[in-house]
Amino acid sequence: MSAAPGRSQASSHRSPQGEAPVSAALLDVENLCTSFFTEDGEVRSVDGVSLRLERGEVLGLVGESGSGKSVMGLSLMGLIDSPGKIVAGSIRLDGEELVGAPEHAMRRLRGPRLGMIFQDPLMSLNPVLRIETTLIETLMAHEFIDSATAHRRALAALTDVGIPSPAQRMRGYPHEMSGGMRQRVAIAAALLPGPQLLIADEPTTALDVTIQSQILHLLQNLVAARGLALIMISHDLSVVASLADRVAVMYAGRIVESGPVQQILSRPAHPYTRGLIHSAPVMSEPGTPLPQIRGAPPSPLGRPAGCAFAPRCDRASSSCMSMPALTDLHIGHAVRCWHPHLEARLPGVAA
Amino acid sequence: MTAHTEGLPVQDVALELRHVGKIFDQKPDWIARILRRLGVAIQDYRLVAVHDINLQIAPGEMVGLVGESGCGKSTLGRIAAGLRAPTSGEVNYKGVRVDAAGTRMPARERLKIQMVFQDPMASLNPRRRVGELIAEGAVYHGLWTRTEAAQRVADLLVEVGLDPGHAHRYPHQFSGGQRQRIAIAQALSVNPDVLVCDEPVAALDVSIQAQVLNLLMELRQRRNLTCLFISHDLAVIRHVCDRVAVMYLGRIVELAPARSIFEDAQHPYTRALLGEILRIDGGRRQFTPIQGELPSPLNPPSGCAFHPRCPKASAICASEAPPLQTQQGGWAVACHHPG
Amino acid sequence: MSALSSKPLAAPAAATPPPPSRGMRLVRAYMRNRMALFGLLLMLVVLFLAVFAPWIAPQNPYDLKQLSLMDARRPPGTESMAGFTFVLGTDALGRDIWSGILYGLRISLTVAVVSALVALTIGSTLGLTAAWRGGRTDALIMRIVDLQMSFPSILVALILLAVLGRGVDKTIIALVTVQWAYYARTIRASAMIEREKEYIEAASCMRLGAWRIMTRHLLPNCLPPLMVVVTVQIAHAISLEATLSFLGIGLPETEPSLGLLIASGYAHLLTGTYWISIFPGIALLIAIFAINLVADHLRDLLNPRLAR
Repeated sequence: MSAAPGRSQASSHRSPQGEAPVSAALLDVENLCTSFFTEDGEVRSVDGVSLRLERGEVLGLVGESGSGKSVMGLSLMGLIDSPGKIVAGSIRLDGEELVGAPEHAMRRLRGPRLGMIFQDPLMSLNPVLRIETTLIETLMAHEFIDSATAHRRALAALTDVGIPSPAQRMRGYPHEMSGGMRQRVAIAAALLPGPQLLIADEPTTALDVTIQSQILHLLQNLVAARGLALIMISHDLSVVASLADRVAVMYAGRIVESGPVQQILSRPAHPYTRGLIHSAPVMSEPGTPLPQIRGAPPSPLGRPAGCAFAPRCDRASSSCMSMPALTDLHIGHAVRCWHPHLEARLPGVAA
Repeated sequence: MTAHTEGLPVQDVALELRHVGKIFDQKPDWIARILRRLGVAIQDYRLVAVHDINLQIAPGEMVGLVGESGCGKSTLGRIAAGLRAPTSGEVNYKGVRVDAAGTRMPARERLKIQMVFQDPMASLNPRRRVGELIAEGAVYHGLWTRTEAAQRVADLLVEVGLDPGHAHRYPHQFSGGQRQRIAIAQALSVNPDVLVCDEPVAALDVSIQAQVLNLLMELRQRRNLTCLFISHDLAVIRHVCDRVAVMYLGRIVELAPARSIFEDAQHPYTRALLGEILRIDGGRRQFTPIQGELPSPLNPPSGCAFHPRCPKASAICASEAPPLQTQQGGWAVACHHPG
Repeated sequence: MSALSSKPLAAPAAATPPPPSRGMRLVRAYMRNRMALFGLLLMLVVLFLAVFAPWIAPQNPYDLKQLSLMDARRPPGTESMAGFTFVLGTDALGRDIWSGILYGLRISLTVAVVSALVALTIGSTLGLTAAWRGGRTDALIMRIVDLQMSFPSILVALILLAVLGRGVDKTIIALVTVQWAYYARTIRASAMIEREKEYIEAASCMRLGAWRIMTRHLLPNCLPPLMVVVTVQIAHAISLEATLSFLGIGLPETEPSLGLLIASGYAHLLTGTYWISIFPGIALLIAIFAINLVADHLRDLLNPRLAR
């Protein structure tokens, strides 16, 4: 199933007529499993996740705490450190296998091919280095250019992300900027080497609503302008709804529903997705009790056998004692449930 | 101040904030003073967190306080709960002064105003059992005897939806949502009239938020609580509150009934905030974000604090800060060009 | 999706046993480290010897009636007049070195532990008060702490004991004076962080008195770094006390500590009767080493756990 690292594959399937092979998806993840071996036992944070991402596509990865969405992002980047480990599965970036790739191969990929931004921009920006040092350092680590060219490109990158008076800001430090601006710089730093895929792990969660809007607007523009593929990890369905083409909902380490964003939001099939959408305050008449999902997300240590959502589900039955497989409901809309909803959801109350 | 409380005798207004202001300033130390004498320009650190806030909350009413970071809502919440002393103005509970700067009310009476905090991890003492934490205030002030404490704690745990048998456990043995329920139980143990909730659901998982919001709404109904609900999320506030106060850089810029603020917001900032709300069913959107950054409270713009970012700004906006003017229908706006 | 159900959940899912308490996890993590276990074992052995000295020691070296000048400066392994073997030899007065070490450990440990505990109490009170009150109180207390810490401990102890004279209680006073500042500073740092946390605000909301909040809410949460300081300080106190005794001040000759034993054999070191100084010296080394080992691992363990 996996190609040797460094050798790209022309395609992974041929078109039905047996003609020239269609180009493979940009990212092809197959049955990925990531575990953390702690003193309390093995914690399977990501438990058999498969997904595909085409070039220029925006995928939203939605989940709550314990769903494994952040670990998923880190696994894709190869940033899982001991006591964690990718224990099974494959990740193919443009045909190149990432699981098991040696660190120097991953370093070649991180930056020029794969980028990541985090909830806290200070995870990307060293607080004791000037902005220009961080940006130029990144660039010169990956390409053979002189510092003047690097400086020019860094300046251009800052302008691209909308930083006012970039030349001045370059000489400054991260703590001199506001949260929103720091996140912009982090985005600039991630995009500077020109990656094909950007992973954004809750980039706007810590920001105010007005700044969040600005950052999402920026990401939207960058995706359109550069044909960037984006994986947007968030706990907030509405953020994903506004930006993504496709959505994958994660629960307890597995994908429970995936498909085109409009389809998922208007006809959510999985009871969890439906519950999430209906419990949002905008969806109910003000003052009335909100529809809620009872119980709490399972801790990664104590996951029940069978469907992880069953204890909280009103539609659970004895068949839910065994884990349902991810099956296609319609084209492109897959759900992991024995009793999926087939009808459209209740329309939201107008604002 | 509003239609709800006009004409009400002073002692019937549950919570009143009158001209409340809070300034954090750091007097220069002796080295800085010497340097200043020598001619070095040393800047005074002066942060106006909250400026001239007037708010009256009627009994049983739930008022929301919404704003972004730096607007002073958390500081105002703490002043209202009596945890911080205001630099100017006063907080009155049923006509009697309760703020930390000048209250003469005995501690036991001040228990009537309680607070629920944002971070359920940090708001419970990790080294005490939850039963002890819930009972501590009531036992200390003599509201409960030690013998009845166990039963009262069990009753409270049931009321907030937890298993009463878990009173002997430690906070870290509960999940985030459960801890928040414990925090609410602790606040309710002394039978408060007024509850200040500082972002009570912001740190919780989305699927748990609805549970805790429902709990708060139910408790408010059952115990006829007056609430000050602080949040950055307008959607949540609209759902649970009767009235909304929108804050920007330490001032209230709009005060309106929660139901109608979504349709008829008058202040440009409120409009912008509403425009930023992402809807699940809104579809792919074209973002039209407000330009500019939130100004730092250390260096606020002159006149109306919002004018650098306001699409309607004019000359008067830069020079004069608009006062909060009451209009009909219980609405109040602080803007030179409302509507 | 169920109909609008706002009923709070009846009970949390399944009767899962609660996760182990923080204390248990700490103990388990500690046990996992060989070096740490070794240090703990060694420390327990030292403690055991010190506590049960009167029953283990073959001779009470301070009971003049049991001594015999005929036994003076006997090498290790000699038979005594009373019939037992001098395992480690005798000193100039005929005292068994092994017994001397046991009794010496006893005194050293007692003095060190008592002074550490008293310094802990005084230092914690002052540090907590400084952190809670802030402002002038804080500035005043911290300046005194700074002043205290800028003097070398030996110097302060020397001067104090020169004034106070010899004696166990006076030594303890000197040691307390030298140590309290570390406790104050450590607990103040911890308390300043904890003070901002919301559970303290919740306690203030309950209008509990300041003293109650400090002792029942603030203090227990500031303990982890203090535990490390206590352990390190005990080792430091032992060593300081040994130094003072070596110099001839501090503990009286009637209750000699290891330092005094070392001092008494100092003159004879090069003439061949090495055992009078060397063995107490080794005992001192082992005691301090064991305590430092334990303290080190405690610090390592508590550090990542401090981040909640």
